[in-house]
Amino acid sequence: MSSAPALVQAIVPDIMNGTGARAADAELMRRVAAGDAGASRILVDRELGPLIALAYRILGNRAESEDVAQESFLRLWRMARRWQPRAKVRTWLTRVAYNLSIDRLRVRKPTDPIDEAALPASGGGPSSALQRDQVAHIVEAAIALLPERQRAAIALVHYQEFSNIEAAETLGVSVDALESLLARGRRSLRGALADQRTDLLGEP
Amino acid sequence: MKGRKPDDLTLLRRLLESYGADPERWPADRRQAALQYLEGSAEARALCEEAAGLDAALDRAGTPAPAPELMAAILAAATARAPRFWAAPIWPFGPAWKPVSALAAAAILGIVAGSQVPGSFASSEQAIEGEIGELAGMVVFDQEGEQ
Repeated sequence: MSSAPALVQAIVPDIMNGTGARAADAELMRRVAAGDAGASRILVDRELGPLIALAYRILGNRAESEDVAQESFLRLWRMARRWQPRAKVRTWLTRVAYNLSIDRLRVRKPTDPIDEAALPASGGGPSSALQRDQVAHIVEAAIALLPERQRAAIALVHYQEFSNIEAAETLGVSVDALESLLARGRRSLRGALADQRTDLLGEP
Repeated sequence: MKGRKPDDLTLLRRLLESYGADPERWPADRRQAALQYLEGSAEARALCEEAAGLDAALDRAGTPAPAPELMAAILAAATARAPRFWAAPIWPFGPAWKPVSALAAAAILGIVAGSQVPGSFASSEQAIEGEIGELAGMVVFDQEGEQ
């Protein structure tokens, strides 16, 4: 059990950072509402990549993940005049993108494959790049086979680096339920990647 | 480990299974206790290494980079939604409130400063009266000349 000062020391910086980030985002949104192109660019530069990454983790398709990211930003611009500093822009965008992604999954055929062309080419020689792409594809395929809630939980916590509370709120579940989704997802991934243990999991 | 409560391992195992091996991802209210346990337990460190292996595998997954065309389209949509400023052709530098506020402030300052200067209106009245007096004198002089 941690002592009270240690607990306060651990939590207070998170609260302060959250408040400061919300205020900074509110100022950016005020500038966006006033037509400041520089503010829009700051938000796009900062948030578009993570947003596409989240949608891609859930949907496994580049074109669809870009559509989701674009629609999320259009909704953000529409909110600019009414923005309140109650949430961080990233949290708000992520929730919108998550809901849009889930909506797309619901109307999608269950066997749509992962978009192989979306994986980036890496540096190094042709063989190492090919190997990296193959490894990336194996991991992508393993993630894509997870149930959607487990996939989304891992996308939010591992890739988006959301706190447990932010991730749980985005998914509309309790923190306990989130941890259960994460644990089941990671367990399934370990099993799916077991054949490539040496390469992928660092185990003999 | 001796002296530790039996649930310390359970706590750490749950964190590793849910959030992986990076303490930065662990919930702040459980991080300190888990780290303390980790320091003193070989079993805990072995579990942590195992979780780190899966973290590393997840990090090898690829993510598509944002296309420049997509960025441009999103930025264009932001600009299209922004309010049009009537003086944009002569003030293309940003929000409308800045030049309008500056002009309004200058106008108010001018009025206030003008009303506060002592005798400014009295001097004007005296000058007008003097001019009227001169004109009256000229009229009298002209009338005398005609006589």
